Amino acid sequence: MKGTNSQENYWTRPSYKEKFCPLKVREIMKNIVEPKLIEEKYQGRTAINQYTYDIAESVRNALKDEYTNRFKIMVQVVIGEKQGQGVRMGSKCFWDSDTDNVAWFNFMNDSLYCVVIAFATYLY
Amino acid sequence: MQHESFSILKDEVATSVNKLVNSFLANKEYNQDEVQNWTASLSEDIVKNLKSMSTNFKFCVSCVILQKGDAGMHISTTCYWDSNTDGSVAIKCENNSMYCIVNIFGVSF
Repeated sequence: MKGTNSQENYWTRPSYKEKFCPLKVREIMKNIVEPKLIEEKYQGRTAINQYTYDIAESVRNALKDEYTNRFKIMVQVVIGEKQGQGVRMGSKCFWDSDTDNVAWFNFMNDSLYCVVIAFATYLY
Repeated sequence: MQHESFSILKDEVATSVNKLVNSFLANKEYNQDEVQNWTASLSEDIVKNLKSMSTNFKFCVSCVILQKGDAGMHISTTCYWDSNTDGSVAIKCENNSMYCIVNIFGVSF
């Protein structure tokens, strides 16, 4: 049939332009975290508490604007003090690896470390 | 399309994952070389457990193991989803030498 309107199709896969791109998301996270934390020292409970929340919110809002179409976003931010102790973070997911993806960013300065991880799942 | 809500599963997830993590950590001492494998295998065990509970959800599990000491740590999570159907659970456990924090996100599709 001629002239079929492509907007009437319902896509169950994101097109290559709409795919969640971890490299791009890493850049976004870097631009949010570095200016905020580069001069900071880990001090007291209340100041850092607010930072984790602010960074998580900013990253989520930035990703929401970038991937408006049909992606659900989850962001986790971990900020810890450097005292010579060991720490390890790992994650596993049960999803559709064609459409869903994860991006993470690590940051360190003299007194603290910060890990941001974002999961994105596609809504069919 | 009727979507099952994650809040139905929440309690079941919390109790079973709590049991899993506690039994996993029970006799272990923090060891820098092995902890890499622990986070991976613990996350994998949790995901397998969740898979058996419900097939209507995609799961993301994040596990942090921190050695006990003088250092402080903060963790924050935010999400952009449908709050009627999706949800998350946070599990906190410890033993003599380490803390373990697990965040589980369940999204419907």
